Amino acid sequence: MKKRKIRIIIALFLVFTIVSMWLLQRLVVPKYNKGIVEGAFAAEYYEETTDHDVIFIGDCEVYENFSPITLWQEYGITSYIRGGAQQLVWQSYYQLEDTLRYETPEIVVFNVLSLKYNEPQSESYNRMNIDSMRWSSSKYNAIKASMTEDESMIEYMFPLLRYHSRILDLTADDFKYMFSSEKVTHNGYYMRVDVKPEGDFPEPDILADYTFGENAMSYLDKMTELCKENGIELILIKAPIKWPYWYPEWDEQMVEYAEENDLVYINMIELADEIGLDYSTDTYDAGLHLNLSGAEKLSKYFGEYLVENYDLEDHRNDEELCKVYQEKIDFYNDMKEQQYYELETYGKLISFGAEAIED
Amino acid sequence: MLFTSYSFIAFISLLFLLYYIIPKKGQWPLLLFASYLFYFLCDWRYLIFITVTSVSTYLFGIAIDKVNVRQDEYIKEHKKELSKEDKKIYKAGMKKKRFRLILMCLVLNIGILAVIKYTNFTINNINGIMHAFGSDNTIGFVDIIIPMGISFYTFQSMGYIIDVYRGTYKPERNIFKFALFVSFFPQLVQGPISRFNDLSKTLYAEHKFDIKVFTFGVQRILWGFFKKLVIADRIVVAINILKDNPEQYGGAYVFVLMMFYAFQLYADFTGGIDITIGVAEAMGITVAENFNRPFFSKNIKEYWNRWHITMGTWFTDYIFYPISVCKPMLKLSKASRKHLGEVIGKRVPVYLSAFVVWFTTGLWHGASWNFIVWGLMNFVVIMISQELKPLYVRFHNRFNVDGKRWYDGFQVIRTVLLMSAIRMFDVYRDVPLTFKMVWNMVTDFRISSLWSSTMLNLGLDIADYIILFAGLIILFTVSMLQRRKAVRERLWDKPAVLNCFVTWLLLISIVLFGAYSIGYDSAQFIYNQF
Amino acid sequence: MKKSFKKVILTAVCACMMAFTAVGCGGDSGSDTGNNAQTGQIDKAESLSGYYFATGGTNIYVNQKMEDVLSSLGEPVQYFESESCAYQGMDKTYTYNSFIIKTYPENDVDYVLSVSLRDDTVQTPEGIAIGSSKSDVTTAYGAGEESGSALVYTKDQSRLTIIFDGDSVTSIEYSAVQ
Repeated sequence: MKKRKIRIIIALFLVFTIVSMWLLQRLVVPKYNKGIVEGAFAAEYYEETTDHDVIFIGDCEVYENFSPITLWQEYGITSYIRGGAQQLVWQSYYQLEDTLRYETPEIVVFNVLSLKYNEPQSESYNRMNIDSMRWSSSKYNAIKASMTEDESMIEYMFPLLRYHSRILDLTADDFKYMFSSEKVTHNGYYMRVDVKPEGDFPEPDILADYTFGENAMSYLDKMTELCKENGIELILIKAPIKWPYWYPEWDEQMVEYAEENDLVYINMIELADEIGLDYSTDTYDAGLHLNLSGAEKLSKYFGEYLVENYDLEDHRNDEELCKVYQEKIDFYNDMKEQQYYELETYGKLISFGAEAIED
Repeated sequence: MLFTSYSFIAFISLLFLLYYIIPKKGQWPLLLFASYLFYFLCDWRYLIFITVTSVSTYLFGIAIDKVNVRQDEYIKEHKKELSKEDKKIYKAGMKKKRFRLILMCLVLNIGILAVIKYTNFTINNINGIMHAFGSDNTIGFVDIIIPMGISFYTFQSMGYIIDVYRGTYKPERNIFKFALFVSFFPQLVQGPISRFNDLSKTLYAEHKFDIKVFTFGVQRILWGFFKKLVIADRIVVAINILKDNPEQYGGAYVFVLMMFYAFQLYADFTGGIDITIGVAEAMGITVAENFNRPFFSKNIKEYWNRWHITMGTWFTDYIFYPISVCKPMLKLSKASRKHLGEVIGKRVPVYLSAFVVWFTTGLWHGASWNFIVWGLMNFVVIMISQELKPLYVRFHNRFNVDGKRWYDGFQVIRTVLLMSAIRMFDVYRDVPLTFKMVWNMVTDFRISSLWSSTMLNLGLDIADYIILFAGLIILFTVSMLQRRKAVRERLWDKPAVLNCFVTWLLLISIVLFGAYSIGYDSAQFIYNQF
Repeated sequence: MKKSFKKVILTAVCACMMAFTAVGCGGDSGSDTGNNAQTGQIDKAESLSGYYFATGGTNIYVNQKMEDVLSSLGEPVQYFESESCAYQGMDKTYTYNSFIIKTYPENDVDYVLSVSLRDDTVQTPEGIAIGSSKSDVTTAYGAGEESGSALVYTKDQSRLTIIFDGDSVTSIEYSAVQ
């Protein structure tokens, strides 16, 4: 009798402790719902109900420069961007692996800038890109490949351990989005309508070694392999962004790599005129990322390229898809409208980007 | 592996589980395995050192005992033939043999300790002396690994061999059991220094799972984590800033540093010991207490009876006592009484022994002059208060303050302040700077300088101060409650729900308010370098 | 009572001070092996050490506050700032005639991340400039650590990377060790 009572008490204690810890964890993890929304990208993918023809993977040079909505509107191409802030090549690889659990696209587009990083870089980017992935061996491996010296796997498994000190600076948003979140991207595209003309870039550094690191390249190899295995066309691109500087030596390596592996590599910096980009109006942060106008131009150009060179179906006759995408278009237009409104009223965006303050 | 690392928590969780599901006979061998694994996980090379100490001490212990046995047998056999005089001569011979054995054992093990810990310190001092004489030669430092807890396990083993030598107890015959005594992992990190006859009572016994014992152990571990993570590791940031920038933080800030360091050291050290004792307790093993609410001491002597108790008694039993009664000392005592008179003469041997004890205590704490001076300061203060004792007694009688509550309080605060001041020697980077800063504190104490926002530039914000304050209040309250009955006992007597709730609260506050993970310094336990 | 207590401390302190001067030489020998286990964060302002670049009477260290550098160097010829992805801070680049300084932010303060020399009108305090030979470099700095076509030297929190094209220096960069 007594033994049984003790067992019940212990069981209750454990359940209570676990539940309360879980609730606290939900409370203290960053919500990425306003301001820095990049941390919410990875999770949004899982809410997709339909498959995609094209999957973009890479860093900010994909999620700020390509608009899947435009691709849909213009060409009936369904696409999704699985990109993250300073997403390193292994993170991209594992995101792709993760994506293939849910669907097999026709085409995967990878932006090659991140090849310049051969080692884990920064904890905050790691967290943004990985934390909201669903648990799978891909996530585990992504963490293992990305961890900097001070990080530990257990803190990824139980983010409460990492974020516990946020208990002292909680905001209303932390409660509001404890169990739910609002959409922040358009199929992975991060919209910005403001304009800041391209700046005067400084001279690029001279590097001791222009060869991409072995580690980084090994993940590109794995990516190539994975696409081949699944019958996916892999397209390597360098987005039409001139800073951070893309060295000719790097470009050569990519051209060579593409040739060796029978892949397409497009350096879009050289195509800026053809795309119709005007860097004095098409970027929102002095040339590092395109704004909506730039992204739509680039998407139109790239969509045409895809339609011309690949056998992609125009889904605009598919009623079901149309319904799904109409919702997306509405959200896209609403956000566009609001951003223009804010820009007009306040001269700057106030609920998007760095200056947005969490409630 | 640090106590506050995730791997340690995983390690002990797994161990607890195994400990209670395997056959009871396997419990102590499991502990031996776990201890060696623990050491191996820290650095496999450590194993060499601890094995050498274990094996050598074990063998010498047996050898010394053999001499004893032989002596007894011989005397028994030749009872009739031996005259009293013969017996005496024979015994003296045997004693010499034993002495030679123990000497070898001590030289070997203390030698290892000395070489490892003090080589670079010696080189540094030789360089300093050579420099003083105008030589430009410098000897390069040697890269030696310092096995974790070497001071602790060496002292523990040496205590054992001395006890065996004295015949306090028989040596352990099972080498594996003895190896466990030396390497028992919770103690490896920062003590306490256990006695064999004490620890062996529960260390090798078979333990059935008992919910009360286990709960107590876990609660003690949590309490240790609370002290360590919520208080010590939080305050350490400010301490580092204060001590690394002495030019910037003088006067009243030296006092702030002094108090912060006192709290930090206390929370860190006692927290670590709580974890050690808790881990052992959860497995039914009783490890000696190392603290007895030291900050409630009324004088330094009492303080040293209540702080780091196992170290203090070790020094008393194995250094102070032997030195006091060794032949040269007795001779010196006689001579000094004869030449210097009763009053001073009587003190010479006591002072000399005490000096040696405090010098070695300092040296044991760390290979630097900071610790040596710190040790000697303790010596000076204790001797001064000893000398002033008649004065105190007169004062107490005259003003009738003895036993008055406020006067007790005054004495307690005085002792805390004095000990904290002396402790400054292991805070600042060198001894002259410490003198300078303490002097600066006394001469330039402007309390108003604290009211500026500087207190918020020490790496702590308002929330940190609130947490610290709350933590210290809890610490103090628990200390007060402990005086009559252990807090865990009190809780156990209350309804289980309340006990659970308090435990849950403790756990949650560690998880939420602990200074761990990225963004906090992962400060090691201060004492595991000794 | 309190006063006499203070006196006791003071006397003790003085006594020990005297005792200590006798030991003298050991004073600064408090070898840091034993001295406190806490590996403290070093306050940035206090840690200007390692390799530095000197120009027109100004010494520039990595991890130095950019504010201080700016006040002695004056405005740069060209200035560029770029917000890093997801607003993890503003990286700034100050281009002067013969060198470029980059900064990194920490708690709203910019610190020098790197200084790179652009032409041979400036040289390092040790006398190395763009165009110097490999043997000049090894004479001035020692063997160094080879990395690609560069020799790398590390001192305290600073790293000096000298890149060669064949035997001749093409780039000199001071950078903060992260």
